[in-house]
Parts: sequence; C-alpha cells; structure tokens
Amino acid sequence: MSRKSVSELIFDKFAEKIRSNDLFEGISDDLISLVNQRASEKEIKELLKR
Amino acid sequence: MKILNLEIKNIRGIKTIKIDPEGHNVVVFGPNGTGKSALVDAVDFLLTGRISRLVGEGAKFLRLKEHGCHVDSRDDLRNTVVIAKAEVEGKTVVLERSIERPSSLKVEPEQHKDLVEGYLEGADLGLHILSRRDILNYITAEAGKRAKQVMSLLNLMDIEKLRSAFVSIRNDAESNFKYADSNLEKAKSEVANLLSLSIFSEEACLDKVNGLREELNGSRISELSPESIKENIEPRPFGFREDALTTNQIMNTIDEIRLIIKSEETIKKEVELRTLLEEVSREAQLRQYLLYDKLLETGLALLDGSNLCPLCGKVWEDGDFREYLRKKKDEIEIAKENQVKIDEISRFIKSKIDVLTNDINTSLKAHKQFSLEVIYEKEMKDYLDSLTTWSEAMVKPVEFFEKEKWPTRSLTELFSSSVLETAILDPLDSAIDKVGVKFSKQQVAWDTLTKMEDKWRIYIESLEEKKASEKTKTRADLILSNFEQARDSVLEGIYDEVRNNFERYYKTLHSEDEYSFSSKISHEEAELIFEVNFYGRGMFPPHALHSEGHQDSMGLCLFFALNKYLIKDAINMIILDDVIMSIDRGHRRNICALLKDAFPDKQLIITTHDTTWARQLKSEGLVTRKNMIHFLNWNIETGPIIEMEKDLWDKIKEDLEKDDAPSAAHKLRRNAECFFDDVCDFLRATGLPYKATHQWDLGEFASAAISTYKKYLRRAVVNSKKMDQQEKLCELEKLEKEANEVISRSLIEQWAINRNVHYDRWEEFGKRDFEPVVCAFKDLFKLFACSSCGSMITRIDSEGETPMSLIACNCGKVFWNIQ
Repeated sequence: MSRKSVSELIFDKFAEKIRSNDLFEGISDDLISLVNQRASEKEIKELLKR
Repeated sequence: MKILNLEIKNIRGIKTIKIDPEGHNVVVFGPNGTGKSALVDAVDFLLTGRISRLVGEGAKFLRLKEHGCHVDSRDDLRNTVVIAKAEVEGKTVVLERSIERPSSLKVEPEQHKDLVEGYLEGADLGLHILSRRDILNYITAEAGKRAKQVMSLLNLMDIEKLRSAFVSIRNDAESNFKYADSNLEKAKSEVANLLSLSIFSEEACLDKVNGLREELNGSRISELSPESIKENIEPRPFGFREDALTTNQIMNTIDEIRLIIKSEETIKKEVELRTLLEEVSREAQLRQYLLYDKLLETGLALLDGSNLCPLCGKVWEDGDFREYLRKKKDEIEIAKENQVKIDEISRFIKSKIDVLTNDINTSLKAHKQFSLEVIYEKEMKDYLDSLTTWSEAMVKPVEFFEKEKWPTRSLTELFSSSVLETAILDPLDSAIDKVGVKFSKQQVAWDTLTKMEDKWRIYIESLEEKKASEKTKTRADLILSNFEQARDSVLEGIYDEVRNNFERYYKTLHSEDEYSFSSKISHEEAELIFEVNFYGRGMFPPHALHSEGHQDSMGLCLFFALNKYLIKDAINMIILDDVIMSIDRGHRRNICALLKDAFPDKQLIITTHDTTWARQLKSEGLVTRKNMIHFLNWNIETGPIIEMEKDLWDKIKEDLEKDDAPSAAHKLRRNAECFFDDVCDFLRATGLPYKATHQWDLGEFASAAISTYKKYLRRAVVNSKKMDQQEKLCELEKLEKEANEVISRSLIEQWAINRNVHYDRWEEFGKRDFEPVVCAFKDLFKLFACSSCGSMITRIDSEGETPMSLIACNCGKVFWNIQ
C-alpha cells in the first residue's frame, strides 16, 4: 500500500535532476512545488524568467 | 481484501443472490445468458462504484442509474444494493453500496473506512477484472489505443498532460528567444544606420560617438550608456524634429536594404534550410532517436563484446550489436546536427528579414518626411506581408514546413523583385540629392547623439532581453528533457518488470513450444509498442501470426503481469470473466498451475460457460466444491436460478433414499466417466486403445487409469526400496495393498453401472443392492485424490540436468518418485 505511484516515481526522478542542475539554483524548490501542484503553464513560465 | 460473503439485490440481471466464498476462490459456471456476468458487475460495482461494462467505448448511452440496476428497479433504486462481508488486514468489515448513491461506500465498523478505501484504490485502476473485451484491448488494439489503455492504468494521462505543458513552455521560450534575437539585430541595425557603421560592434559605436563628441568639444568617454553619450556637452537645440530621421539614417537604411537583398548569403541559407527541412520531414524517426541518445551512449559504454544487450541480457542476433548501436548513434548525431543547423539558419534568416522589414518601414517613414508620393501601395503591402510570413515561419520552421504553411514567395523572388527600388529606394535617393546638406556638422553631431541615446537604450534593453530569454529557453529545454528522461527511465523499468513477468507467465503456459519466447514492450511517443517473437523468426504484433489460443494466453499473461505490478497486494482479488475461450485443456491446466504459483494469495472469481473448465478448476484444486456455483437458468422475474454444486455421493444418497437405483446408477456412471477421463489426463495414462473418434467409454477410461495408477505406485515402491526410504516404503506398500483391495472390489461391482445392462434389470435393484457399488466406487475415486488437500494426484515431469518424474498432489502430501 505504501508503494509510490508511477507518477510519483517520475516526479521524484525529475525533481532529483532539477535540484542537481546549477541553472535552476534558487528556483528549483519553487519549480518542483509548482509542478507537483500542477500549476498553470503561465506560473511556470513566470518562474523560469526569474 | 477478500470476500467472505456476498449479497446482491437488484443489480443488472440479478434479483437476489447470496453466496459465501469465505475468502476462497469462486467458480461461477453455466450457459450463456444465465446472469454470471451480472455477478461480476455487482462485485465491480461494490469495489469501484461503477460498472466497467457501462463505461468507455461503445457505452455512450449507458447510465449506471438506468442500466446498472435490475430493469424492474429503475423507478425505485432504494433496494439496488451489493453487501459484502470482507476481510481486510485481518479485520472483518461489512461493505455496502447502492445504485442510488454509487459514490458512497458504507463501511462497518466505520473506523476501518480509510483502510478499506486505501485498498480500493487498486480496484479503481480496473485491473482486478479481465474480460474478453480487455484481452482485445491488450492484444489486437492499435499501438496508440493500447498506449492509452496502459497509460490510463499507470495513471500516466496526468504525466502526458504535464509533458505537453512542458513542450508548450519550451516552444514558447524558443519563440521568445528568436524574437529577442531578432529585436537585438534590429536594434543593432538601427544604431549602425544612425552612426553610418557598415558592421555593428560596441567598440565601433564608442569610436563613432567619441568622434561626434569631438565635433561638439566633448571629452572622450570610455563606456557607452544613454547617460554618458552627451555627458558634459553643452546643450544646443535639436535641428530636426525629434522623431524625424536624419539624412544619414535614411541613406544608411537604404544602403542596408540594398545590402540585404543583394546578399547571396541569405539566399544560400534559404536553399540550405529547405534541404534540411525536407530531410527532417522524410526521416521523422530521426527526431525520435534523439530521445534515446543517452540510452545508446550508456549501452555502447557497457557493451563487452559478447553481443549481449546490457539492458535486457539477451543476445543480439542480427549481426554485430556494437555496430548496430554505433549506426543508431551516428543517425542520432545527424538528427541532432540537423536540428541545430535548422535553428541557426532560421534565426539568421529571421533576423535578416526583420531588419529588412524594419528598414522598409523606416524608408516609408522617410517617404512621408520628404512628402513623396506613395506608389505601388498594394505591391508594397503584399511585399511586407510576405516578409511577415517569412518572419513567422522562421520561429517554427519545422512546423510550418510539415503543415504546408511555408511562405509561397521564396526569398530569391522577394529579393530580386524590382518593387523596392521602384517604389521606395529610387525616389528616396532623388529626394536626398535634392535636399543636400542643410545643417552644420555640429548640429548633425548633436542630433545624432540625441537619437543615439534612445537607440542605445533600446539596444541595451534588447541585449538584456536576449540574455534573459536565452536563459529561460535553456531552462525550458532542460525541464522538458529532464522530465522525458525521468519518465522514460521509470517507464523502461516498469515495462521491463511487466515484460519479464509477461514472458515468464507465457512460458509457463506454453512451456512445450515457446521456451525461447521473448517480447518487446516499449513506449514510442504516444504509442505503446508490444511485439512478440514468433518462434525465432522475428518480432511481430501479438495478433499477427500467433493462434487465437496463443493470443488469449498473451492477453491473460499481460493482464496478470500488469496486475502483479500495479495491484500487488492492494486488492487480493482477480476476476476472470469468461476469458478462457480459445485455450485448450492442456494449456488450461497450465493456467491453473500459473494461478497457484504466481497468485497464491489472491481470491479468484472465475466465470465460465464451459462446464469442463469449471470442473478442471475444481480437480486442479483451485476451488472447492462448496464454491462452485452453477447458474442453471435465468428469467426476468427471478433473475439467475443457481445451484451450489452438490457432492456426487450426496446426490446418489438422495436417489437411494428414494429407492431410485436407476437414477443413482446413471449419475454414478456419468460422473465416473468424466472422473476417469480427468484421471487419465492427470496421470498421462497409457493403455487407451486407439480410436479415430477419440471417444472412449467408462470401461476404457477406468481400465487405463487404474493400470497406470498401479504401475506408478509399483514404481514408487521400487524406488523407495532402492533409496532405502523405510518410512516411505511402509507407507507406499500399505497403500498398494489397500489400493489392490479397492480396485478388485470396484472391478467386481463395475458391471452394475454398465450402460449395456438392460434398463429393466434396475427394477430388481434396490437401495441395499446398490449401496456396495456406491461404496466401491467412492473408495476407488479416493485413490486418485489427496486425502488432505482434495486435489487430484498428477504426474509431473521436470526437465533439466536431473530429470524427475513424480506423482504429487497440490499440498505435497502425495509424493511418489516414479523416475
């Protein structure tokens, strides 16, 4: 029952890659959080400009 | 979760049914149209709140409230309900769901509601039921439809939606970058035109500005900024209107237009771009390869020269594997290079087109400034429209090319058109000649520096914008590629696990001819590719060459493999709704073995119209007689008419109590015939006489079964003696002695159930006469079943280095070495 869903596994791996990339320094946590919340494209685009 | 008892009221074709599986497997059998699937629907409804049959393709006009209940209950849904007592993690709970409120599951005691709902998440995937329709979805469906089915099982629709959003973000970032790049080129061009520079560079601009400052007795500055351009220079009035163009600006703009349209470089780039786009469109697969770049790189690094795939561990049989991977890698490199070239060239052309458009607009403004007559207005508008189309096409060149939105007028045609010269450039040349030099050098210097302040500000902003958009683009690229890599890596792992189990299950079912079976399950864009090896002749779609029976097996095995991965222990139930149709008896036995081996803790609910398969499930020990539910008939008022399978000996006893020996004898003969047919199958009995009809009677079956049994038992005794297994020897010798006595007794009594005995003879037979016959056969039947687990004893042959032949039961109590 505690097994992660396929989506969760993909998100974990994705988050790991984003966190380890310098280009996302300062925005990685916010980005991962937005993706997890399925935020709108607009919100993600705004964040990427930061 | 396992069902202990189940009560169904007014669901689908059922009026009222109660069954008590007590957590064990259930077999529901009977002819078509007797309501078996309604029981499956009811369990489905209890677990999920929906009925799978009423949703999805082909069920557009079906509604749960109208079609989920018994047809006579549509106007009163209060009593359309499924109630089950179930066991969840050792706790007993009562679940209840009604068609009236399908989304509300009542759980007693209420404190276990969360626990139950947690388990039911597994059922929500729909992977607890396999029907004939589902098999078609897995096996014969097109790759795209299968992908949707599996993606929905894996809950990947959400992932796909997110990926689409990332693609859109990346595309937007790419477009923004191209616009920013083009804006910067325009800003540079305007600065260069203002300062009469043939090539823009910040150093050249600084030199020019310092030159103009000298005209105005200003000192040299070391850095250009809007604030420093006129720093410490005495202000003077502006010679022009501030928004007017200087003569130099106009002249330089004209020069730039001529330079662009006469440049062969842009024309060459156009040809090159077209060639690349044709190549990319032709080789759409090349773009797909880009996704596997890293995988191939890793694969190549891991290859050890053995031609073994480091990922799946299988031998590559189509030549040199390293060479194959290298070729693919080279193709990827080409695809990558092409993509990069397309981006570079389209950006170059866009910037030229945008600068040209800007220059033309500046020239039109100059026309107004000189009050020149506007000629060829329509032609100029068409010309500018064509340039706009080119500019847009260069933002998404592949899309424009593939969707046939490519500009209709080529750049060669546009650049060689005389309309620019005739309509704009020539009249402007004449106007400038007429105007001559109106202002002093100092005034021109002041005016140019004033304009430069604004142009330089725009240049700096454009530069910043390009830098920012480049960073955003790189981030957007990375987000998409990281997401796809994460998805592919997770899915590859999952597909690998599913494929391994699928192959293992399938090989179990078809061990005799598919021992080298292999398959491929992979994701390619929006498709799920599923291919199977056809006896070493290559990979094919599963429904291409394999027989119907093999396809059914594949559907079943893929379902089991997906179920194993996705459901695990979340819901301990598998419902097989009349799926074993084209599978023959031998392979059905393998299915039983597979179910026992791979899913020992699952509660199976199996429906079938095939009585032989139902009986086989019992004799293989998958279900006890108590949980064999015979659906005899159905009518609309009563729903299914069912009978719990009774014990043969109880039925015979009932006949004898009524002193009806003929009925008892008939039952005994009919059942004995089926029984010994099974025994011959399980023991792989020898000694059946050849018959072209392949039909044998009770005497022939019983004789072959008994002689085979005796032969094996004797061999087991001899082997135990040889191996000095004293305890086993004693047990077997005792059994042999008892068996001989039982067999002798049954042979004496066999005449009594012989069909050739004249019917009248039974009239002389009473209860007392027939009881010894029943007793002899009851004892004889017992010889072929385990006294502990009740399963039939079976011959098992194992191959390998030390081949073994055994007679065994399911629980292992019967274990004879007959090697």
